[in-house]
Parts: sequence; C-alpha cells; structure tokens
Amino acid sequence: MVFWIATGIFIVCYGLIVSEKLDKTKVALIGAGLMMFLKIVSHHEAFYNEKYAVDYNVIFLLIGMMIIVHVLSKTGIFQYLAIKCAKLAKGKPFLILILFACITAIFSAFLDNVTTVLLLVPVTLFIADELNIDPFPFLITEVMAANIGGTATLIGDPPNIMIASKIKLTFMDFIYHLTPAVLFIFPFFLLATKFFFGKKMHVKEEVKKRIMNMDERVLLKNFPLLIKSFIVLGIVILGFVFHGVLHHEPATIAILGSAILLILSKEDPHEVLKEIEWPTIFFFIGLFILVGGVIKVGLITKLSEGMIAITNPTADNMFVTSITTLWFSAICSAVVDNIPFVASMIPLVRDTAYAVLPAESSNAGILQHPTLMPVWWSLALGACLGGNGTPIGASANVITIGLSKKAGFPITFKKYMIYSIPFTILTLFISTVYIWFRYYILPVFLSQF
Amino acid sequence: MRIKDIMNSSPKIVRVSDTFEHLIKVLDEEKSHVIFVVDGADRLKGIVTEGDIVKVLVPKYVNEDESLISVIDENYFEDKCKEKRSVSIEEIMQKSLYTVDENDTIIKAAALMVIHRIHTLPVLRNGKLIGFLSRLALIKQITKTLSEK
Repeated sequence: MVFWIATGIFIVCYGLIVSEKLDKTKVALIGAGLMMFLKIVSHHEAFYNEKYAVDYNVIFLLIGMMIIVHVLSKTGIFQYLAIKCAKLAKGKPFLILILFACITAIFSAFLDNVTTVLLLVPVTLFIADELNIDPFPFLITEVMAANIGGTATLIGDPPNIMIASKIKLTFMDFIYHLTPAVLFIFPFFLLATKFFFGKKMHVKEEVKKRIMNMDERVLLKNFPLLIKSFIVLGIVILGFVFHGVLHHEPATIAILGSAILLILSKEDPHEVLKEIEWPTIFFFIGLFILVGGVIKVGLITKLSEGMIAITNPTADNMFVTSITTLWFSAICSAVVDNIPFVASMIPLVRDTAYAVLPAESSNAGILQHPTLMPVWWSLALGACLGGNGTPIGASANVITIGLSKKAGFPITFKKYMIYSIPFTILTLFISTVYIWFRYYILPVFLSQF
Repeated sequence: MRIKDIMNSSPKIVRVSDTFEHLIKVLDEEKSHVIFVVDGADRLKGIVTEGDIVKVLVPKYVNEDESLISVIDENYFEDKCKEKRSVSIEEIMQKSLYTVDENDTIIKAAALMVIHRIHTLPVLRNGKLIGFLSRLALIKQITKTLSEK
C-alpha cells in the first residue's frame, strides 16, 4: 500500500513538473511534505539519513557559488570581457560569435549557467544591435555553449553536482573524464555553427568601426572588488581542485569562499542573499525528499531491474547500459527538467550497480567500480547536453529566450528546434564516440602494451 | 462637475496606418504632448506620449543591463531615428487604454489617473473620441475651485 501511495505522489508531482501547470518549487515541496506527513520517510530520514535525505552538499555548493557569482557580477567584468572579445574579433560577426561561445563555455564551466547567460545575453543583444544584425545566431550559440561548457566540471551544471555528491567523485575526476569530452565536442560544435550561420553573417566595414570605437574600460565598475572577487574565486577553484586531497566536500570550500568574499566586499548580506535563486534551492530540497520516498519504498529498485533486463549489464562490461543511459538521459532532459531526472536516475544506476557488481567493502567501491564509471559519465553528458534539445530543456535556454523576447526578438519554439535538434544530435553523437573510444576501445588498446 | 465641462475638445489625432515620421511631424506642428490614434471610423485605437516616442529609440536590452548605456555608439540616436522613420504607429502606441465618457465625473477621472499612474485620459462619446482630459486640466480646475468665494 505504502509503495503505491509513494509512487502515486511521485508520478503526480513529476507530471505536474513536466506539464508546468504548477510552479515546480511548489510541486516539489508539497510532494516532500506529503512524503513526510504520511510517514513514507520519517522526519529523521528526510533530513539526516544518508540514503533518503536532502543532499546538503548540493544545496550549500549551489548557495555558495551563487553568492560568489553575484558579487563578481557587480564588477562589470562579464560585459568588459564581452566587448573586449568583440574588439579582438575586429567587429567581424562570425568571429565574435565564436569568441562569445568560448567565453560562455568557460564561464559556464566555473559559474552557474543561468548567471552566465543573464549577464551575457544583454551585451550580446547590444553587439548585434550595433552590428545591425539578427541576434538569433549569437543567442542560440551561447545557450548551447553554456550547456556544453557546464558539462565540463563538477560545479558547471547541477546534474554534475548531484552525481559527484552521491558517488563521492572529486572535482579532478570531472576534469579527467568530462573536460576532455567537452574539449572534444566543442570544436565540432563550432564547426556546426560555421555551417549554419557562417555565410549569413556579414556587415559593412563602417559598422565594424563602431565596435572598434567602444571603450570597454568604462564597464569595469569596481576595480578593488574585482580583484578581491578574482582572488577568492581563484582560491575557491584551487580548493575544488584539491578538495579530494584535503578531504573536504566542495560545499565546504564554496561556503567558506562565499563568506570570505562577503566580508571582503563589504556588501550587505541582505542585498546579496536576495539575489540567490531561492526557488531553485527549495526545488532541490523538495525533490530530494520526494525521490527519497520512492527510493525507500523500492520503486527505484524495481525500475533498475527493468534497466538490467533491457541493457543486460555485466560486472565486466556495461557498454550498452552506458550508451542507452547517454541517449535516454538526453531525450528525457530535453523534455523534462534535468534536475528531477538526474535525481531519479542516480539511485536507479546505483541499484543497478548493487545488483550486478560484486559486493565490495565500501559503497564508494561499488559506485566507483571501473565498469560502472562510464555509465555515470554517460548520465552526466546525456543530462547536460540533452538540455540543449528544446527551448525548455535547461534553465539557460528559458532565460535566454525570455530576455530575447523582452528585447523585441522573440524566438519561437520551432525556430529554436530547427537549429537545436541537429546541434544536440551532433554533440550526443560525439559523446557516444568519446564514451566508446575512451572506455571501451582505448583500455583494450593500451592493455596490449 | 462633469468631464465634458473641463476637457480639451481638440485632440490631436493620427491614423493607425501612419508612420513614425508622420507622428513626429504632427507632434512638432501641434506642440502637443500626446497624440491619439484612431482607425478609419474614428474609433480610438491607442495613444502615443512623448515617453513612447523616446522608448522607440532606446534599445530594450538596457533594461536588463544599464551599464551598457555607457558604451552605446555616439551616433546611435541619429541612426535609430532614421531607421524607425517608416515604422507604423501601431508598433509604437499604447494599446491598453483607460478611457472616460464625457458625462463621467471629474473625480472618476482623477481616481483613474492616480490608480493607474496616467497623465491623459481620452474622452469618448458613444465610443468615439471627442476630447481628452489631462492632469493639467485638473490642476486648473483645482485653482478655479479654490479661487471661488
């Protein structure tokens, strides 16, 4: 009975989140509240249990990084760099598009995607306006670049943060495994932009001069704050690099860094904390408890049995499971918010691992089993890159399309999809090649020496 | 006191299909702060204020990032004026309107102005534009009322 009640709550909540009939934060919180009220998960399990509770690592890592990014955004550095890039490109539109894609990807790898596009979209619209050119190619390229760049690191995108926290992966694990994937994907992505937009982007010489005449230095508003922010961000990233060695969770580094920056910046905490995306934070909290409920009643275990039956993983080889996870995650993330999807997939893959892999001394041993690791990387790649597929696939898409509409350049669902589908299929295809080659071909090849 | 007693009965009008250039010409010639937009049957379709005209020339993305104002090209204003020359008035005008009837009370007009933060109210008779009431007309009425003994 409890199984069906929990499953019913989960399905209704998931349906409401997907349909967007009700705000997703409200849905997640009511679902979590019901799971607790009906004692499907106890109060203690919802807040303190390792398997079912809210993952405070994810929560505090997100809050810490949001504080740092907010303070940094007040310095004008994002706009400064964007104009600087446009001038480096000598006002040539396609070159500007490429450089903007690169800075968006780099920012997104280390900061959250929403903030990155919130800061870069207005300056992109400005550059397109000055060049007298359609902003759409720039905007869609930036959305894609934000989601691709975010895939590269542990802190780049929420799915990665969630996977890292549950599986106890370090920042450097992501640098070793996903950053090369992104570096492999990105040149192909840029080539595709050349194919789609390269021929359409030409402007007169006098228009280029407008860009060259801009003085980007006026955009740097608070130089001392910029220096302080960079120092703190640099130390925080270093902390992430060494958090495994230091035996600290990334959330610890982010919270300490954000607190130091709050003190150094002399910003009013009330003002800074107002800018935190609290609805997203509470969405995560609700979702963790909601998913905790269905894990406890065994729904996820049943689903994992289905996954085992379909993909037939063994203790030695999970190639089919990896590739299925990659494409299935991508398709789901294109239509569903990738956060609830990954929150449900993590326990599913975990249960699959427990069922297939030999018992070892620690949880981390099984969850980080070499045979299983490509499945985690496939999940991260699929969930992050799949978000590019539709206008609602990821937060960066929704924000960019909203800002563009407000500025008088509406992007229709159809117009977005005409470009996003081939881009997404391309990046997923390259990811498939990466997973296949790196984890199933290269080890065999190297073992011969 | 009714609105018809204090309203301005000579509203400056343009047609929905007229261009931005024509609108500016009318505004300049008539020395008016607000222009009313009507269709072929003289039905009110919208109004254009000085604010709406300035808004046409300012890029909307500065609402999201004010700092960009400082790097906009110095010839931007002139370029945009020329670019918008043939834009239709329909794209510029305010379409959601509060209107009053000529027989409504002055306090109704005053209340609408306060609640919805508007400066000018079109006055209608049987749905057709016959005049307008501005805040200035209300102030004049206050002055008149106070000077009465």
